[in-house]
Amino acid sequence: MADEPSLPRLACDPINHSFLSGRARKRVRLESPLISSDPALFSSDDDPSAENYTQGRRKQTYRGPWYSQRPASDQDSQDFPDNPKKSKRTFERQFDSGVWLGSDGTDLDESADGMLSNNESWNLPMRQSRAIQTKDDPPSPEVLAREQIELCLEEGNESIDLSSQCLTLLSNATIRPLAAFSCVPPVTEGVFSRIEPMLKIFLASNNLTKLPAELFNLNSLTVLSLRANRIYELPPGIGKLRNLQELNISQNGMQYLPFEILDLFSEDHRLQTFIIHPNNFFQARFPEQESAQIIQKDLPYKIGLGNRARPRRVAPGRISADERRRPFSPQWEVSYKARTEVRFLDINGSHLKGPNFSNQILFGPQKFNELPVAAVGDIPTPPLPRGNQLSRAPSLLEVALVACSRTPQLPYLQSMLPKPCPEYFPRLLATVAAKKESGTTKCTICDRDFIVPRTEWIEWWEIAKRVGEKGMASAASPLRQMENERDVLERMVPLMRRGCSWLCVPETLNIEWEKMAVTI
Amino acid sequence: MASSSQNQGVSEYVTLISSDGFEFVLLREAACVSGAIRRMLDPTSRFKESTTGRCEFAEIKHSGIVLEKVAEYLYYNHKNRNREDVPDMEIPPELCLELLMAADYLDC
Repeated sequence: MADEPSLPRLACDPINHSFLSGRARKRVRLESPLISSDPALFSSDDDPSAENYTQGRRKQTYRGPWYSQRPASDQDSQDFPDNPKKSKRTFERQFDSGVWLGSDGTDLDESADGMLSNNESWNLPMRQSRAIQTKDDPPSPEVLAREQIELCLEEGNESIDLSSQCLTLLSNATIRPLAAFSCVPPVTEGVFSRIEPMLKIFLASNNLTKLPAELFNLNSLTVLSLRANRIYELPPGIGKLRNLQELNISQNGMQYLPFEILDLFSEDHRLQTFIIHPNNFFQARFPEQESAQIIQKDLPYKIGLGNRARPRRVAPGRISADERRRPFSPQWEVSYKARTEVRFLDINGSHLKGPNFSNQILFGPQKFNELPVAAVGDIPTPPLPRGNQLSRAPSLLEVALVACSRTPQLPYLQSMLPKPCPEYFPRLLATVAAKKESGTTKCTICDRDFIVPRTEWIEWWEIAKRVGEKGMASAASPLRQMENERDVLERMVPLMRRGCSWLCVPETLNIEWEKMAVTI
Repeated sequence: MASSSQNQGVSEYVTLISSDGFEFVLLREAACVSGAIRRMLDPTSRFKESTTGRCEFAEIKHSGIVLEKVAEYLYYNHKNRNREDVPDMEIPPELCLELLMAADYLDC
């Protein structure tokens, strides 16, 4: 700032000049010149608009006493005679640092002076404008939610009711503080006892479409209500909620649930209440000759009953490997019923082979989401592999996408894509970002993280609460068939299974794969 | 693995050449993990590459560094082709977009 006009020192002869010029503020400054509570903002630029920077910059000029200074642009811009040299400095736009860090060669005194002399309307802003902003705009629903969460944290209130708040987005940052939730410890006999919190989160009747991954890291979550939102796909992380006792996901337009939801019914989980209807779930359509064995084949509830009568019809001679692997809680009756054919996807996620059940069906003409069930002996045969044989190794595209998801620049990658680039890249990067937000997806066969699924199929599992021996018997008794028509139908829950390679397909078929090794 | 190329007396190795002149000699079988390279080397395609066994990639940017990673990937894939639990392959984050482009171009 060597060539800036050097302003008079603060103490410089104040009596000569009138203080009655309506600038009473300045007077206060004189008493404590260096300590200012005004915002730390100063620019020596007359007018900070961008057009001024294209050519050599005009220096700010001063005339008259310092406290009545205004930027030269306000007055008729005559040059200050003491300031002959101009535009020597190479320009860098530094609104703040130029003053307060003294990096422009100023010292503190100078900058304080400069600040005072600047145009008030430009000078005052920052702090005030922020206050004004919060006054004028109503805070977003998420800000309110965050405040409410903070309040609950402070008060030790386990029940967090965020329902009907027009929430469209719930970010990880909002939920994260809840991980540190702790109860106000009750005092029993003069001893503080630590109790495990039992968090209850109610997000009903909002407009949520996605859920943050942090929600599924809340180990102490016992009640989760997502009723009446727009969540079409529940993240697989739901299976991690070990202490969840009540889950309500009705009225969301979901077509399937993640396969990982079965974890909630395993022995080490505590689920008691599981409300999933109504939703837009896919229904199984059994092939003709099989349904012909059922007398009234049009009645959909017969699907469930038929299965119970011939429990091994779908997978004859064996139970699904998954049933053997996970011990389910005795409170729940969970069993594999049927699956669709396997859908094979290319490395970029485009459909190659098999049934197509993407989300578009939701808006399509299909009124009832029926999907045909694969034949009993169905052997999924993948399309021809790229290399000489099928392998479980991820594609280079996948490897690169994983690297993308690990960079902190992920949100900007889309703008950094070289042009022209394949039209599916933005979609893939959006998928990567979404997975970072709502949690990773794991292959349901080999447990490997993946970004682009290579196989997909839907399995129908019968999930029913065991009401004791009596209850089960009555549900199966023919006398009550009509009454339980819906119950039986609704027990069939479609679960989406995804695999990370073309070898990750339903398990019965492992033997066949060895023959499949193609040599080209 | 008896590949058709061996039957025809073609070399077991192929050379990938980057636009800035780096050459990578790879097992033909490993290189064929990439759909594009496999089509280039296919003897029935009558591409020049199929007879010389030398594939030039002028289209890949910074191709030396990228192609080195590609070669590493091809061997990683080849090595793990029969494994059940495939280890992860690390690639430096600054190369992720270039490799994304390369993966699309090489179809692998």
